[in-house]
Amino acid sequence: MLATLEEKPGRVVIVDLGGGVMTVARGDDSEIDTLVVVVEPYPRSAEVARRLLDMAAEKGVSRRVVVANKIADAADLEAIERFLGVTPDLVVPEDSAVVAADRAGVSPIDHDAGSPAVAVVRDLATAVLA
Amino acid sequence: MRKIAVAGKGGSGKTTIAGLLARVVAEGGHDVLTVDADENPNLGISLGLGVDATYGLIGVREALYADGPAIATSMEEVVERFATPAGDNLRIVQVRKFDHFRPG
Repeated sequence: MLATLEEKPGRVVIVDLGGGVMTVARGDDSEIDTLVVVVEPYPRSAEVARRLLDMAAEKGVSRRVVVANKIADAADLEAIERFLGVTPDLVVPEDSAVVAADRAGVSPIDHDAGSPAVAVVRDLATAVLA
Repeated sequence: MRKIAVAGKGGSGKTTIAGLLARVVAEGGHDVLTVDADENPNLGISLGLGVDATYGLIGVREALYADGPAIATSMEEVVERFATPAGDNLRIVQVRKFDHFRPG
């Protein structure tokens, strides 16, 4: 369906896919050029991430970016590397500002634009637009 | 034109990351179209649209069928008809179930 979007200068399309792997399983390489895979430091999350990355590679999605999320310490990051077998491109730390924003029903960037998680997402934006 | 999808296990924080990414890219002056394809559509909240406005967003599927069966000819038409402003340079369209994830 995204393949029918018109090319427009400066346009960026960002899709929040359903949880799990099926939405990527149904797509093809004409749909997206970049897949951002968000993974938490535990085995079931890493397993979903691994399957997403494998599918994206098979479908020819040219860029795959792994974002480790809710990382408390070095052990969390090592756990992701062990479960997933790759080093994340970006690491979002556990961030109380994100939790507080969630509870308030607001965007974390409106709650605290200078929070650590927002800072990493600025790096993510630079990476996906490069 | 970049087409970026954000995926992960449910609860991984992917919607928060997607929403923040959209805000940051929009701040940079790009014309950002966000597509909420999650069964549990909360992307509007992460964009800063607010809880009530997010849950009031009309799904494309419901809209297309409101006056009986209808077919949108393209995603561009869907965007023109149903995308909702969510700030400067930022729009959201809610698709709920992406079961037509390819042309046609």
